[in-house]
Amino acid sequence: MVGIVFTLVLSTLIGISVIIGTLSVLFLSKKRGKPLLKELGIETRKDSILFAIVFLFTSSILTILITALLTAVDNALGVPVGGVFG
Amino acid sequence: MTIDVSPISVLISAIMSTYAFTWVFFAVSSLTYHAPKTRREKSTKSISVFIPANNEQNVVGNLISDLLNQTYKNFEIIVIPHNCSDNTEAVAKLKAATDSRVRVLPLRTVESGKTYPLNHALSYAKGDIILELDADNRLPSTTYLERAVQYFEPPVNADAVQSKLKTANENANLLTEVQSLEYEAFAHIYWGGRNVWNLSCTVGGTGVFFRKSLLRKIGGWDNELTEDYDLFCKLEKAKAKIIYASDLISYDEKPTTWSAVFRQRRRWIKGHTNVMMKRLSEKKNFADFLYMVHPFYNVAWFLSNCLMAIYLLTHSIHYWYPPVAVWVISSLSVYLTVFVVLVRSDGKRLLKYIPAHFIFSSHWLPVFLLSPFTKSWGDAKTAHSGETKTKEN
Repeated sequence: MVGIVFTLVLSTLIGISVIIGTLSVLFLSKKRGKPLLKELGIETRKDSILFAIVFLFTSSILTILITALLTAVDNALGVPVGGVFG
Repeated sequence: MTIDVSPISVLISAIMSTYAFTWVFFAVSSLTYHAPKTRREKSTKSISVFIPANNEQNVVGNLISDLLNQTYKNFEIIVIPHNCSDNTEAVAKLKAATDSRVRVLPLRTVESGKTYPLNHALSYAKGDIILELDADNRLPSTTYLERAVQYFEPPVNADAVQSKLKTANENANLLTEVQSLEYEAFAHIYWGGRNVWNLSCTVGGTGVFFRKSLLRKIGGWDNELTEDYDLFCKLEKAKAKIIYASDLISYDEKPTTWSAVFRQRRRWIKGHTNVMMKRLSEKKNFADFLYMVHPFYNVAWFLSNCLMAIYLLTHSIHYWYPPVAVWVISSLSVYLTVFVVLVRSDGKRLLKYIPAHFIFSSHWLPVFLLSPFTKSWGDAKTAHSGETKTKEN
């Protein structure tokens, strides 16, 4: 139960952060009169690939971390878990 | 409750905790940092300003104009157009025609590298103090040189002085805003924090003053991808007194695209690793040793993520898998100290970019993995547009 509540709270927080982040970038690009991609430092195909890699790394790290924390909560509660594929 | 105490987990945790602790230690120390007090008396020391320029026609003229506007007049400017294929030399010569203090010493070499023009200029310099600048720098304060020479007089008697580096194109886009945040925090924490403990401030590759006699004694710059870090090691070996002067501000342009950021930072990592391999056996204090081996932090961070992923995908993570806890605590403590330092320094405007910086900071991992592919300075050249706005500080 605690794990589910924890997951819900975390998901909501991440969702809100993503929405706020997207709106902030849109606001910044409009304020400076620049296209959204330029605001994010993307001007060529190479830039977009590198941006995607950085975003992927951040997402992976956060996913791993959150999953680890959730598993830790389950472990603490004595719920038997066997990993994502377990 | 199970604690994973396998050697690799303990090693990763130890490396990550050490770096987090060092960061927090200097961050807390930096809260008491103030620029050293000078006497503000007339100095007779002359300055030679070096401007190495590789295809910098868009920016070099602005910097020369800023220098010619300085209140301190006892200086010469040496512009070294190096392997240029644009009008850098012509722009510099145009300025030289209006003021005899500007000298232009064009240089062509087979290999690329910033050290060639710097050492070339060192052999011609007439000043007592050398100021190394990049062609994209701007100096909006007209008393920059006047205040800088005071640091080479009693009571400070510095051997080298590092200026504060601010971002000229901070408002260009989100990428330059987060880089500005990074520089603001790093300079205050690492340069200021080290000075609080009488440790020399590490020198950057621009906005830095040296006593010419010392620079010549240590043989100038070695040809490294991070010639600034290598020079710092040589200055440390010579027991030089290097101070950080936050009241001296020079502006430079930051890369505005991801590919330019990657290009620049791959060079930093590769260059730093090369210097580490070259100078690891030299005697140094613990803080310098940690700074030297910091690429291992990247390795530890990367391994930690890989291991956590493997644990999760195969047989579930242990309750207290140490690197998870260490990563959470170190990230929180680092960003908390960055927050405090930005509030205490003049970086409040950058606080809102801390979440964006968290995402940005992940670039160090792919940059680290790609760094071995950087071959030379030629691969890492950052183009400058000159479309920047600076304001008097």
